[in-house]
Amino acid sequence: MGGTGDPRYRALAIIERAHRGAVEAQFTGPLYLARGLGAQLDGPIAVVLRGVAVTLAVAGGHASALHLGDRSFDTLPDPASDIRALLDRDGQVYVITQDCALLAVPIDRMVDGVVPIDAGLLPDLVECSALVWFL
Amino acid sequence: MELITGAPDRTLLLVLMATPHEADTATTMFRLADAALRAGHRVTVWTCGWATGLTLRSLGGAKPRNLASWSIDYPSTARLADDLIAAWPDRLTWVVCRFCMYDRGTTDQPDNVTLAPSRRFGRYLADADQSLMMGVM
Repeated sequence: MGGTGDPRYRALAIIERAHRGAVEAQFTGPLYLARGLGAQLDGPIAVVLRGVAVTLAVAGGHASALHLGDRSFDTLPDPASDIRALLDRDGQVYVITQDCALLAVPIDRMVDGVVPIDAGLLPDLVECSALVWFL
Repeated sequence: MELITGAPDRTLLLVLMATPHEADTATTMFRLADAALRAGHRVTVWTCGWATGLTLRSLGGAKPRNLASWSIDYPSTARLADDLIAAWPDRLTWVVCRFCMYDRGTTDQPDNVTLAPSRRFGRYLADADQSLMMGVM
């Protein structure tokens, strides 16, 4: 990853927090924001998941339906789907391997296409991005 | 929690102090309340701080449209609370702390919640067989 010439990514979104209110947010989490903001750029966006946010990239992490009386709601967050949508739009999604290890999240449980990287590579990613956002 | 699986017809006080959009506490509260009600208990939900905003009428019945999934209906927390209250009208009481409501400006509350002065908290606590305080205001 070099830091000279045109930036490789228009924006680098760093997400460190996750699981902030399933019933409140449903779809409006940081991954939705990254996707929405990234769609307004004229270049690819990269997302780095750090800390507990690495769990967002686990395949099949959809919260179970919410039952209230006779009603059932199946619109709770589905971060793996958001990750796939980002990847489908030529985005890149990284997870920090040290944080995965700390949380005992196996790398092979990640959504296909998610790239594990060493925490030491984060400065290089910042250097090759035109914009850096903490979402 | 033993209350949920134990003898029915007991009263559980769920005190929701946690700010929405900070953690999954409100989701846990909804799940706990429904589970306790299904098990035949009575539930009182007491909301403080920004949690008083969960039932705001101004939220409407649905969240704004998901630009990526236009046709899906995402219920607002106000609708989820309303559905829960409607499902258990005789066993669920949803209380909004009046002090916090004014303090946070969350005054647009529906008719099916109870506005209570903060000094009444002790009475709800005394009336409950078990209480659980969730989150930090």
